[in-house]
Amino acid sequence: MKRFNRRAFLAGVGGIGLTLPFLPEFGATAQAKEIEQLPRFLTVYFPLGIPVAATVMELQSACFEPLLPFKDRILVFRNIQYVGEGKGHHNGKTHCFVGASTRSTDTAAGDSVDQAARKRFNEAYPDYTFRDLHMRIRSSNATAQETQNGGLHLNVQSWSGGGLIPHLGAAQPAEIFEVLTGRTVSSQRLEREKSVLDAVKGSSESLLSARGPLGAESKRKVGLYLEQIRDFERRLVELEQLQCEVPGMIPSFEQPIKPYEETVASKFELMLDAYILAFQCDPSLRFGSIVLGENGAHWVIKDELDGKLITSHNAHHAKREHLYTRIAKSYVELVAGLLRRLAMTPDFGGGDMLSNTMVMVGSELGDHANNHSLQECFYALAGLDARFKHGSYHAMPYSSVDMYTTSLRALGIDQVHGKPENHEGKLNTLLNNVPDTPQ
Amino acid sequence: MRGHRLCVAQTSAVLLLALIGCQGRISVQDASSTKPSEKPGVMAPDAPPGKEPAQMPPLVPTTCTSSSAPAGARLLTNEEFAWAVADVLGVTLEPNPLEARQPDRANDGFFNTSNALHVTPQRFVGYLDAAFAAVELLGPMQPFIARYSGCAEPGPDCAEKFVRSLGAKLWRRALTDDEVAPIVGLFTAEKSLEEGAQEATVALLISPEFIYRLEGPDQLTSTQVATRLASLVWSAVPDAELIEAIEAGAFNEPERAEALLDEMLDDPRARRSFNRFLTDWLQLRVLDSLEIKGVLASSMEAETLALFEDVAWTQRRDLMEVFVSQKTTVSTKQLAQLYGFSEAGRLDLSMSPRVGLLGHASIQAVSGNEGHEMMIYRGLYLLKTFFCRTVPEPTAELLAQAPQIFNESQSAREQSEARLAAGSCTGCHSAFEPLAYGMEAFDEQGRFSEADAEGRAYTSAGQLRLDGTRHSFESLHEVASLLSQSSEIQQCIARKATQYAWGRTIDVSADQCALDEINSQFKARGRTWQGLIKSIALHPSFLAYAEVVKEETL
Repeated sequence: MKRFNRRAFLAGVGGIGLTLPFLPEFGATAQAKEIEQLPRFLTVYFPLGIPVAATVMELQSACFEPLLPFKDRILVFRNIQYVGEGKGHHNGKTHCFVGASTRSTDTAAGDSVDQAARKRFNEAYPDYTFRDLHMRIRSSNATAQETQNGGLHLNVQSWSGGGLIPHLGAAQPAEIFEVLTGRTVSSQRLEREKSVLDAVKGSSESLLSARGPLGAESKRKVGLYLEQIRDFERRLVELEQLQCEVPGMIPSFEQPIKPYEETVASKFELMLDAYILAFQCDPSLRFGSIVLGENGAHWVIKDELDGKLITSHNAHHAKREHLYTRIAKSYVELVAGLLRRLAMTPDFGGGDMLSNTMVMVGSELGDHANNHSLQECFYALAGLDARFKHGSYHAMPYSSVDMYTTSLRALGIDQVHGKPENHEGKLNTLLNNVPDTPQ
Repeated sequence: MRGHRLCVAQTSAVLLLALIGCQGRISVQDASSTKPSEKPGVMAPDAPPGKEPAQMPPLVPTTCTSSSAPAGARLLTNEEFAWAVADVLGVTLEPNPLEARQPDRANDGFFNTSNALHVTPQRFVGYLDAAFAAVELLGPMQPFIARYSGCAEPGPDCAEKFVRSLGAKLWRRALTDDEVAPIVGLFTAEKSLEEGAQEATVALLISPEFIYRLEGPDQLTSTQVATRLASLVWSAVPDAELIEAIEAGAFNEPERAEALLDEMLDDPRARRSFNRFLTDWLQLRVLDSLEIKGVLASSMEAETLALFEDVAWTQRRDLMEVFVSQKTTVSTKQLAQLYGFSEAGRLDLSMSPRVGLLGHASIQAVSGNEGHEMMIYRGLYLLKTFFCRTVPEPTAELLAQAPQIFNESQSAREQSEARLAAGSCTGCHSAFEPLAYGMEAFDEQGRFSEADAEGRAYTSAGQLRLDGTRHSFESLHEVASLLSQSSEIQQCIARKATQYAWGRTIDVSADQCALDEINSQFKARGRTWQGLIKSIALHPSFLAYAEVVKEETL
């Protein structure tokens, strides 16, 4: 096992000096060893779904070709139903991983399934704090439409605090490094920030008191803000001597961290390297989300026949069906890249990282994007091999609430995620022996 | 703001706006629900949160029974944060560290929409970065400390004076002892005077009191009223003079409130707020994400802002004239050449196919889209921007028919007319595609052509429904003329400005009455920007408090 000094490593690859977070959990306690064996849970989102036509040939289809190497480690669902009111990007996006749509541009409908799991793990291991890590990428060919889609709820995939706290993913490799290592600021600056934050908390407490001057909405917002301060403080204390033990390979960085002029795929690879490194290096990181393009994002591809730019939202040109499939395939390729990266990375407890990581892939729209349907949605569940009967394709309709609930069950969590009336329990037959408690 | 002469307490009957119970999901102060003030006619000085509220009368009578109000708690946008720092500290955050960490997002076009603004971990780090960057830009702190503490020589009392004085500026109110103590503690901890003052300033800047516009469940205080006014008219935090004026009753009576607003509108910051409104309303930021970037995109935006500057500020005329203006100011040779002129400057368009706002390359670019869907994109932009209307998304059944309608050999116009002729599409598409016909000869980069690439001539003719009547037109000039006279367009401009002022999206069912009254005032005031600001600010809805802003579906 290699001893890995994060500061030296990152100084080498990034040309930047970084400080490190305070992670008391790194102590080599018996529980820390147990923690290293626990499963991870990642959700992966991409916009606009996959046309049914691109998947009807099951895993042999052109669209799913990139997933073929993992066909024995994945479950593919072609007909997941988002149940609830409304349709279109808004409802689909807020429903995806949450289990209930919202009409709000301010609050989500509830915790996302990754955060629900994290909460239960924190309850099951009260002396330990499980962390999460989120990343997102955007298409370099994004249309103006993508930049105009406002509202954080439309571009965040992971929510906690009953759906009130958005976990906006890191958008650049450097941001992932910051989560992993602290920020690119001096030790002196960090000390100053610590004392400033203490003072801000002290001077703001009266705002939240029962007899305070604020209305409920203002109090809620201040409360969330102070939560951000507390969360940030936890990462402020410098621990320069920290070295983490990386099992096996340390990824190599052949590309500079800046500037970011690379293609989406190469940028994704770079971010993925940082993302996986974070999971290798920090056993407390067990949860996360990856957002591959923003809600309603119109990724663009050029039709070589006439040079026209086609988006994945122009479903009504039958003769260009192959191009829409190509766009969907490009997302599938990114998903396959993640699975490949997890499969080639040794994990703490032996085996590869994919075998101990549950990856749930979903999107906000079903069938062809242009009809804004919330039926016939594509989903996939990969990894965490011992707990699933992998290797099958499912075209029967299942509720998304079943999908989320079964995924929690695989982690040892017995909890319906989403509206109970939409839970049928049909997918539990795909589980192998699973524990009764979070583990 | 220059010195007020309005700070004379008046003794007139004052109706105290009182908080009434929840009505549906919104609770607001209702002018019809009154209770006697303790000192009628005298504006109570502002007080810390939880203390006495200001006493405000309804400035303009209203017949609305619905409860419209601006957004309650709202985060400063990245731009507002930087402007507030510039106004109070005198330093410019350029580039803005907040924008680098987490760019703001628009909701329904407007970036100041309360429910699109959240504090994420990235944004929080941005606040820290921005606050530390600001104090570093201040340079030596001694003059800054002296400016706010009044102390020639730093001493034990200076820290508290400094925190109270600077805090009152940044937090828009007096600080309580409990609030002051932790920040003074920062100042006086074992560190240098420079560091102490820097850290105290950073603490004030990253406090929720600074970055949020917080309002309580009771009646607005004087500084909260001042904050709303400064935010609307200036996109700024209120200065001491404005707060003092409000405390002294300058917003208690219509005549004095009008005078106060006139003074505020004469302030240079009023143009800043106006330009920000225009940028959001017309979606000019989209220019940065299009193929045309850099100097040309900037000069397109500058041309449009210059047109409004001329109409709204130089001439103070009817805003509807922007549609028919035959003069324009272009700042680059590149844009001048796009318009068929050789040099930048003030151009006379009277012999040009271009006219007014719709003739601007900026509008043609942000509304445009290459190919056969041009009429759809442009029509939807015009419908949303100038008519304040939207159409529902097509159903799956309708979309299934689209391939039969689509014919690539047809021009964009012919394809559009085919959609309109297909019965199932007509209902919605006829509401917006014809709006784009007058701009047919301008492509998505603002270039004019007589015909398309296949040699098919553009007609720029068509029909549109306006104010309940169908009108025929033969050119962009005729479309512009129709729009400039339309009460529907006027109403939409008033609505967009109100949306901007309230910092939230409009709920038509709940807000229509207030919008109608504001629009009526806007018209009566000659449809100037100044008149529109007054119509919004003097309407009772502006002083109402919303506990929970009604949410909308996209």
